[in-house]
Amino acid sequence: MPPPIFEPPTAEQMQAHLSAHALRAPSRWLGFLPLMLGLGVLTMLFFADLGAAALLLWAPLLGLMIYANARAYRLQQLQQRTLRIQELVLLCDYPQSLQLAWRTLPSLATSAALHHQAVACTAQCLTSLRQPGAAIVAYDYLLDRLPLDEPVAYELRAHRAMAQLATDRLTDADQAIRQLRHAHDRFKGATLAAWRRMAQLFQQVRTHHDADAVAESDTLLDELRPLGVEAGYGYGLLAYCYHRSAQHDEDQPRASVQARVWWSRAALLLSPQTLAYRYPELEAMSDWPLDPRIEKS
Amino acid sequence: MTRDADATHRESNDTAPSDAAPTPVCPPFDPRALARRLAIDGAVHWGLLILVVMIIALGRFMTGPTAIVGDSLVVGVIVGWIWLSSVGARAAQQLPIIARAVEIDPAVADTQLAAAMRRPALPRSVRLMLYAHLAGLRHHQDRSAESAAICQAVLSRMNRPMLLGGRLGRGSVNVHMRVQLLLLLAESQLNLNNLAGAHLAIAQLHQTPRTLVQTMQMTALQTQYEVSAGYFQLALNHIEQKIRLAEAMPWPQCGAMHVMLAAAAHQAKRPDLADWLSRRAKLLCTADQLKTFSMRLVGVESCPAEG
Repeated sequence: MPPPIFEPPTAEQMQAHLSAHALRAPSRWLGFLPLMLGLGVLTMLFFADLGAAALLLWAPLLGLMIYANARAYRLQQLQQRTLRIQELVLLCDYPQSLQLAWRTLPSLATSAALHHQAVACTAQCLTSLRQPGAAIVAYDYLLDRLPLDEPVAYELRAHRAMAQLATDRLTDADQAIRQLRHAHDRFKGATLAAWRRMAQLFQQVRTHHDADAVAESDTLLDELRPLGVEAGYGYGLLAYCYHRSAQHDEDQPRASVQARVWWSRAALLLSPQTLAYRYPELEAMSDWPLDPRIEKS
Repeated sequence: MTRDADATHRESNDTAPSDAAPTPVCPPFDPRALARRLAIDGAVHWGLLILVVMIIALGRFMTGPTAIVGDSLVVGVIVGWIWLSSVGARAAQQLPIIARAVEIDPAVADTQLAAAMRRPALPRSVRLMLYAHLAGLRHHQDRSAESAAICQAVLSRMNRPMLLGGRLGRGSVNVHMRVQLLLLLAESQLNLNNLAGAHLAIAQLHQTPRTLVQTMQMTALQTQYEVSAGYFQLALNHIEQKIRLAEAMPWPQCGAMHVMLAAAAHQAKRPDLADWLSRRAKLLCTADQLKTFSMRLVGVESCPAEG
């Protein structure tokens, strides 16, 4: 019988999974255990007159060392699994990464750093697999637990805003993007500022503010550059804005040319299929012929 | 010196704290100092362990008042051991702080490293980690020769079999440190234009288990080595895999990889590939970065789109 295929979770399933395996503090007694054992052995050594049998008193200490080693080994195993989850995300193997993160999360309930990393990877995978509702649940969970001023928190808010736009929660997204604008100067030139710019561009696409997107296009290359090849999504979205404005604009030929220029830039960094999968709006341009001369113009 | 200038000089001397001690920094690296410190650390730790075993063994023959003396000695040695462990633990706790300072503020990192290294009887692994961070610091300070020397010294110590038949490089933390040192060594050797040294370090990296990020760093260094050494066809082997890895790198490294591969493709007479890589590089890098990355490839004719 073939193994059951892992389907990305819905928002409700994600909520239930996170509630069932939420972060919890490790037992306080566990921290005191080595100290209590050590003190117990020392006290007995002082007061008991057992001769050669005194050596047996070292047995609990030996047991403690074995226990500590086993715990360290277990933690190391969990670190390795979390690292594997992150590596799969880096290699864009989102289904595999999501599956591993989903299954590993219950074991990470007492390790805050690893738990947060696994949930962050889960959110990223869900976004990439077009499950924005479930991704919002994961982003909310993380943002409730991270300090507001952390740069990571700003980046997560930008990602959540994009997921909100994808689920037509336009008011929430608008509020989030406005708040992120204040942090823009602080993180100018960094990945965070680039994600905020991407969120703004996606907002302009969703709300049909094509003219605004076109007017701000001069700086887009520099602003999205920190995203590496993922900047291609932004170039694709701008191409779509030009493409739509070409249908109403007076300067139609120029807008058409610009749409093709930006689309060829996007397709240079990411395949048209990848672009259209993430943003279905871009499907309209996915069969455009790609000519390097257009891009150079 | 004019009177005014003289007065200004005197004034500045008055306001400046004349007795302020200069901030201590790590002295230039000396392999003999590292060997001496490791020998002292080892002697203290092993000495204490032997003392504990001896006291326990002799304790069996102690009776009456001498037994109390024996027990007190055991407690004393254990307290000493705990004190040593706490010194080591405090130094180990400092390691991530130092690692961060190396990236953000090298001057502060230099001071922190100097203070941490002065501590007596550190565990061997902590001492070696401190030196590994020193190698990283010197690399950041563009002191590639010193960085390479530290990497080589620490790596040779890590390879040395320890007592009880153990080897330091077995645990995953030590494997991680070994890979980081080899990456640093390869980069330092490339900066020094010592291609043979870089080749040796990269060859050792291939034999060591690595994380994906470390594999990316290795691939970037190997490509730089291959392009600098004129092995253009070799640089283009498994090009799809290399581009996939490059795409997962942070953007400056991703751009640098594209520039290097474009130069290799240009030299290997593959104009279409060179053009595609150059166009991507122009999107991924700023004009200044393109210039810097091309300058690294001294003696290699730059790719067409770049010029």
